[in-house]
Amino acid sequence: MLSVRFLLRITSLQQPPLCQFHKLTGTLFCNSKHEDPSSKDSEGTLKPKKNEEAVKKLNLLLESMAKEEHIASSSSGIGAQLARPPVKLKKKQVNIEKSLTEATKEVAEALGGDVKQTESELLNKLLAPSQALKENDTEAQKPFVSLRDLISGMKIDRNKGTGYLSEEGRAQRVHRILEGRKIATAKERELSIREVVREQQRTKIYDDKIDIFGGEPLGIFKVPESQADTSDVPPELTTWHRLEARELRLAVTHPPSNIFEEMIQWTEQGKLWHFPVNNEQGQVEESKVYFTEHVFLEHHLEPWCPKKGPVRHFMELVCVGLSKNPYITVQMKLEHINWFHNYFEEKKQILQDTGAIPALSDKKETIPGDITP
Amino acid sequence: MTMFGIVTTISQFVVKCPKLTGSQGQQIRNKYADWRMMKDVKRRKTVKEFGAERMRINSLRKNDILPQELREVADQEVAALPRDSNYIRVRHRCAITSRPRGVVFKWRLSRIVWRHLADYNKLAGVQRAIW
Repeated sequence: MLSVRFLLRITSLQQPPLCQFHKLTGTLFCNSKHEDPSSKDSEGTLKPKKNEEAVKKLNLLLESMAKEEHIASSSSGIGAQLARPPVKLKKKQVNIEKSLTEATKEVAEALGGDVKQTESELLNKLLAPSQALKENDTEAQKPFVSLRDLISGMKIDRNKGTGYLSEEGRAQRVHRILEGRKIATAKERELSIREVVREQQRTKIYDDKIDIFGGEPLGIFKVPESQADTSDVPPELTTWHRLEARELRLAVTHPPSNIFEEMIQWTEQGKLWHFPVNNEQGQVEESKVYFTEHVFLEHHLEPWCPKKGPVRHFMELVCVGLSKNPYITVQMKLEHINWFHNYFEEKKQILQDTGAIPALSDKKETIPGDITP
Repeated sequence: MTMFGIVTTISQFVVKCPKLTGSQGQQIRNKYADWRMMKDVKRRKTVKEFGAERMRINSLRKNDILPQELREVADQEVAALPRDSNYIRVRHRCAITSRPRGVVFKWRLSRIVWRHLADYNKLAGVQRAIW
């Protein structure tokens, strides 16, 4: 569009507005009536002159397209205000040259002989292609090549084994690994050079049978000694054995066919009372103990307790109470009695002082009516 | 007091109070219905430990046969025992809901829970009464 505007400016500068460049149709046509001295001569000469002008303008347009546009590079005007990318090309070139010169110097010195001559030759050879590229860029246009010329030179590619057939599928790979086969060489598979290169570029998957325990261990983790020692002995499968036994039992036993059988099962398990109901059901230890052991407890007092006095009185009451208790065991009753025995042993002094227990030294001097209530 | 304020005070209280925190200020968690049940459990444990001794000493106290000096000594000994060793302090709460009242003693359940289980046939020998 810039070129179009440029063209319009040129036309406007040179001549008064004669023709308009119609944007849509892309043609130059004259809409307005313009007074031209050349056109006044005859009507017949109007059309060829118009054509000449049109041709001139076309040529101008082509030239403008071919030329580089210098609007942006001008210091004044709109170009200066436009944003420009930073210029980096020159610096790069400089860097390359420096490194090149250093390298050539080193090489020349290493080779020996004429250092400067070798340097210059090397640089020429290195920079020759880059110079050639620069020359190419300065050309106006690349030569326009027609499609026909291109196609005439091309050959038809006829390949039988294309892409997906020659590649090994997953199933085939698995089969190969399991059987222990190895991949055939490129020659055997009749791969073209392009296919070989493609294979090399692809990320290779390690295919052959992998032995996990083949290599040496890294030693990152600590192996517990139990695991390390027993290698041949297999671990005991306690849960498995238990479940196996359970399965066998279930296979043999049948579920109850009716409610009677179910109730029998419950009774055997202990969920149901046995009929006729025995209140002492389940009391195995207690049934072995005879009732006299519960009731007659005075003989436990005989070794230690005095035969008369408040202590005896108290202990007899304790025994009566315990004999009437059916809820505790004989052992617990004996514990009670023994505790009192220990307690009175501890408090012997107080008892002797008060006169509850007849002291050995004062046996003859006991006063019967001196007991305090 | 705001919600945040309440939370901070509770957390501070928990951290300071030794009973509620285990080592390093961690909260103690148990599977009892509430803290009253937990306290009741503690009381029962002390009763188990000192209950028999307390009962025996009390039997020495509550009689007029033995000399008074002995009874006075027994009084002092009973006072030295922990207060929670007294059986009378134990409250027979519901085992599931920790309800202090309306507990069916034989099953240790509150009447509501008892009724629920009985209706679903979970209590042996329990049937709806009809006569």
